[in-house]
Amino acid sequence: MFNAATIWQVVVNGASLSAIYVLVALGFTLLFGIMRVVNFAHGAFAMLGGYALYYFWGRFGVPYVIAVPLAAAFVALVALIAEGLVFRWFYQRMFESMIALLGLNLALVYSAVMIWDVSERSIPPAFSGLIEVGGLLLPKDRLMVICIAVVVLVSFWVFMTRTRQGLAMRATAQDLEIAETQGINTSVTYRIAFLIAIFMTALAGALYAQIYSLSPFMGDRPLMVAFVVVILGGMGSIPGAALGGVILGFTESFLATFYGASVSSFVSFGVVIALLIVRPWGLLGTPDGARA
Amino acid sequence: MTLVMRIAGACLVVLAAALPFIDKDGFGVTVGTIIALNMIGATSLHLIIRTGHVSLAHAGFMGIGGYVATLTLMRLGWPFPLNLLAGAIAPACLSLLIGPLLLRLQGKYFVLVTFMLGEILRLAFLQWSSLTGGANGIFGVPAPGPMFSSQAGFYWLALGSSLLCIAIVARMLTGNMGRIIDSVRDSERLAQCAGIPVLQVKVAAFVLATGLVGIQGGLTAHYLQYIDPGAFTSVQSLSFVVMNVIGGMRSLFGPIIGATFMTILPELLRGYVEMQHVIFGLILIAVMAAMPGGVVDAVNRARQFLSRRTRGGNLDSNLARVEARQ
Amino acid sequence: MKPVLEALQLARSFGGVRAVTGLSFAVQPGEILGLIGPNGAGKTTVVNLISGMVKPSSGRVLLDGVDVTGLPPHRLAWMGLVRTFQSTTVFGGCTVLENARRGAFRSAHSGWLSELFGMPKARRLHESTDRLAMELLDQLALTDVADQIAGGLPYGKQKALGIAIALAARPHIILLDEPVAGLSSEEASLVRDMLTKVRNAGITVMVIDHNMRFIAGLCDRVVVVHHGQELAQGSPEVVLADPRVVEAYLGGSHAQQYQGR
Repeated sequence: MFNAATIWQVVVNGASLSAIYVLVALGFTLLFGIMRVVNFAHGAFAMLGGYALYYFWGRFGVPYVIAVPLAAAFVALVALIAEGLVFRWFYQRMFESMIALLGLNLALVYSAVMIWDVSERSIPPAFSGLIEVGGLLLPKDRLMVICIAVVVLVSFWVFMTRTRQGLAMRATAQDLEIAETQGINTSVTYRIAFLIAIFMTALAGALYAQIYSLSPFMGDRPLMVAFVVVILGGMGSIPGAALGGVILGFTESFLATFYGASVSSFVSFGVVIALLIVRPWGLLGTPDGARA
Repeated sequence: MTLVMRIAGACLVVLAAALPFIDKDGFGVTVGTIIALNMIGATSLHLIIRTGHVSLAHAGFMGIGGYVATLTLMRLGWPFPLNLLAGAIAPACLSLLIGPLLLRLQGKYFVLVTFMLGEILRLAFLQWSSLTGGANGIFGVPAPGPMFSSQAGFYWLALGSSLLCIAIVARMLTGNMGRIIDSVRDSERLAQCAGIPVLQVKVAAFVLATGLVGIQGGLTAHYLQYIDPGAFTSVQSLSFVVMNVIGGMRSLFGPIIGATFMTILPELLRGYVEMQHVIFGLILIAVMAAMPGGVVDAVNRARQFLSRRTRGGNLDSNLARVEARQ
Repeated sequence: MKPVLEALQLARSFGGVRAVTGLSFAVQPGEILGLIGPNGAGKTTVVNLISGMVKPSSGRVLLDGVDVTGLPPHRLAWMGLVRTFQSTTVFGGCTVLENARRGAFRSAHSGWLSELFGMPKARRLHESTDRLAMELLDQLALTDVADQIAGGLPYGKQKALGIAIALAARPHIILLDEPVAGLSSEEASLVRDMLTKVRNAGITVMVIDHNMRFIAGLCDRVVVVHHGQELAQGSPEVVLADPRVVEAYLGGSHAQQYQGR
């Protein structure tokens, strides 16, 4: 069972899963860290990313490498409507945001059901076959997922650390009042953060829908992943989301390949619960009176 | 509660009890049964919420109650209502075990842990198929005895159980017990220093609440005559939370109103299942934006607004300010 | 005479930071003891250690000679030790009178079973608790605001209510964490008079604060804490003249100000 080929498969799967998970979790953590909003509709935006890719790549034939970010950007821009109508009433209101965004999730998911019906679709594969890299056979489609994700993540990192807007976002996340007195326009910052968060989520959803399948309910899994990763890494911590995503991705790939999907779920949840009890602020978060 | 409210309440109870005689086609009784059952979950969750914690695992505990009640009846031959009692004790035991661990956690972490817990329970129901029948569940759950096997008979059973549950929760929330619970929610630190054993109070509320919702699980299994994991998802847990939020989380009337509203709404929007969900989602957004305190809070504010016009007192504006703060 | 409260070699570290190291002091019955020290000296940690909010890394706490190290605050409250907080002074969501009633939990509690079943013993205790609460409000000049929501009170009244809540538990020693922070000098004088009356009623008082004038004007003895350790102990005049204390507080002008009361 534990032969080299299987191990490699696990590693590549793990890497592509991690990439997707990190994207989803980063979007979720941005919204929480900067706007203090718990986005229960996160999975729905991932799902919309999947449908957008289905159209851009599957129907309109836009070249794949362009279609993926295009689909994500499209969803992010359209989502601005939701930002103006829904999200902005609940910034810095954690509990109300949970319930309201749960409502948004319902509205989005069931609207999708009305538009597209419940059946699963598949997005036509962009690459099939294997490529040989340094003596190893790797599936092209997973490699593409990893490449796209890495490009996006590196750009994100550059943005956050090298640009003024990125700095403004980090300042707002740390302390809202001080950021405002420093002259940071918080509503602009929020909107940019929102766009980035939804872009990454929709991108992740597009890639996820490509690997698995597309349906109005496919967002449930990414939402759960977002929770797990963010808890693992620490709510509101960006490096934490990255670390958590990688840990979860590889762990799931390993466990699912060797022990089956349900064991994988049990273990992930069990570890998360144990972590929440022992170290609720996650691996990289800060203890903020988390425990009595 | 004023005398007027007591009389009104008594009239409502009498009316509810008389429903099977008034309602000819049985539709009202069906809806009434479901409302009564949902009220058990909503009001028991309310007890937890009043100690300052929102649990997203409530449906999971309901599931434990349902499966235990079913299995003790069908596999061990325990008669009704003994199996129902078992269905209440089982989730209570689990929460007695893990409560002291979970209830130390601050608000948002408690929500997340219970969310995960609910998922683990659902997975357990799904995977442990030798016991639970897996995804297919268990069919052929018999009716709870000859007295309650008719539609009206079961309705009265559900109504009676619901009223009993509400009475128990009400007892916990009034008088000095209520004062203790409110102290714990308002400020755990201050409550500790007044001598209140905060963690024990929260655990007691949690244990009682999960025991009560276990009864709902058992009764539902008898009602539908089957049980499957699909009823014990995070969606159901969220429904209980929403019932509280929409009705109002500061008063026991909240979940009562919320459970009624949430059960009736699908009936009102019959026909278009998807549209129903979309509209419901939009209602949630609107309610949280406009009246986060729920129906009860909105009614209170309306009352204050009207009385302020006649009194112009300082007390009301303070009250309004504080209640708006939530 | 046995001290009411004793701290023996208390120490507490957070991660690598040694907040408190080897601190010892005793509070004698009927005295007013002050705990002072510059910011970051570890005063808050000390209060949390002796009031059960934080467990010490080493050392012991004795209450009336009984080892209570590591006991949670509610157990200490039942043994007669109560404290106030610098922030979260009151139960913001209910009236002033209700605040006092909540503080009086100990006096009102007749046992869980008799509470549940509304037995006459419970009801009688509740009535006497109500009277106790009203008396306390009277003593602290809060009767006029008894029906107001505590969260809406002016700051000075909230601080007074915080003391009322603590007194409602009928403690025999009360710890006050920065009771006059943010108060004007008139309000601080009122608090000083209140606390003197509390001591005269037989309750031992321990106060932690920055305000030198307040501490010097109120306390019988003072303990100075710096870098988590005891720097000096003694009467206010002696301690405030101590050059080490003066140095710890940045400059000699402070001590000179408070030499005479």
